[in-house]
Order: sequence, then C-alpha cells, then structure tokens
Amino acid sequence: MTVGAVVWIAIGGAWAAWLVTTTLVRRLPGVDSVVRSFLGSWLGRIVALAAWAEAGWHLFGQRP
Amino acid sequence: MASHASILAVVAVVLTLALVSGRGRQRERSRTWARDAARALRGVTSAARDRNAAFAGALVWVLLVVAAVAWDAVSFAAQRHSLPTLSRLFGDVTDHDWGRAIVFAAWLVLGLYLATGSRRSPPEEES
Repeated sequence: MTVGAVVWIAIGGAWAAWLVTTTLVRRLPGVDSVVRSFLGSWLGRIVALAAWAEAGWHLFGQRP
Repeated sequence: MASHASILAVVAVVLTLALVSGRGRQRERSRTWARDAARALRGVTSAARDRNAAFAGALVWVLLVVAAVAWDAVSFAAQRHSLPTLSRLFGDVTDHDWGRAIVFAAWLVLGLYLATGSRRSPPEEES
C-alpha cells in the first residue's frame, strides 16, 4: 500500500468518524445542518452550487 | 468534448432551476447569512455550552475539508504514482460504466437538492 493511499484512508476514516460522532452527539453540527446552513441564502447556495459544479467538472470532465 | 458539453449543460439546468424555484423564497438575506456564519465561527451564540459545541463542530468540519484539499494539492503537485490524487481514486470507480453511472446519479441528486432544497414555503396566494 502506498503512502498516499494510507493518508487517504486516514482522511476518509476521520470523515467517517466525525459523521458518526455528529449523528450521535446532537449538540454538534452534522453534515445536514452544515448543508442547510449554506442553503439559507442566495450567497450560501451559490457557494454550495459552485463547489458542486466544480466537483462534477473534475469528476466527469477530466476523465471523459 | 461531448462529456464536457453534457456536464456544462447539467450545471446550467441546475443553476437555472435554483434561480427559478428560489425566487423570493430564501430563508434569510445573503448579508445576514454571511454575518451569522462569521459569528458562528467565532462561537457567538446564546448558550455557553451550545457555543462551544457549535464552534468545535465548525472547526472540525473546516479542518476535515482543509486536510482533504491540502493532501490532494500535495499529491497533484508531486505527480507520483505513490501519491494518488482524489480524482485518480474516483477515476478507479468512474472508469467502469456502472461506477460512472452511480457517481453521476449521486452528483445529480445532490445538485438538485442544493438547487431546490431548504427553502421557505411560498406565500399563500390571496383568493
């Protein structure tokens, strides 16, 4: 296993652990509340959609 | 070329949908949202315990995103086989037709939610 793969597994594991933690501990902001907070205004929604569009371009446009 | 055009077309449709479906239905003004977001990051809320939890939670989210973006940037700059970028990892899935279809469907559903979700109910029309 390469160094890069190990680091990505660690980062992915941290994301998974935090998602579980925010689900179990209601006081902590979960991914749903973070997304909803961005969707509260035009500015936040545009930021979220820009990130979504960039992700789509990167995923599907770079490797057609 | 067709792939680029189709992605741009999907983005254009979703953005148009966001504008059309959201006219007059945002929950708050952009300035208020930006101010409240800045205050949340500084931990300014009414209850001390909620303030600490909100601040800590926001900080962890920021660190997770920064870690992913930073490591992706390092891997991209290094251009070594032992340091795969996030797009190469996803590419191992999207190289297959089924993988590409699943990831595209998930991306599309997320876009539709970002465009149309979490809005105020439209005002009731007077009869």
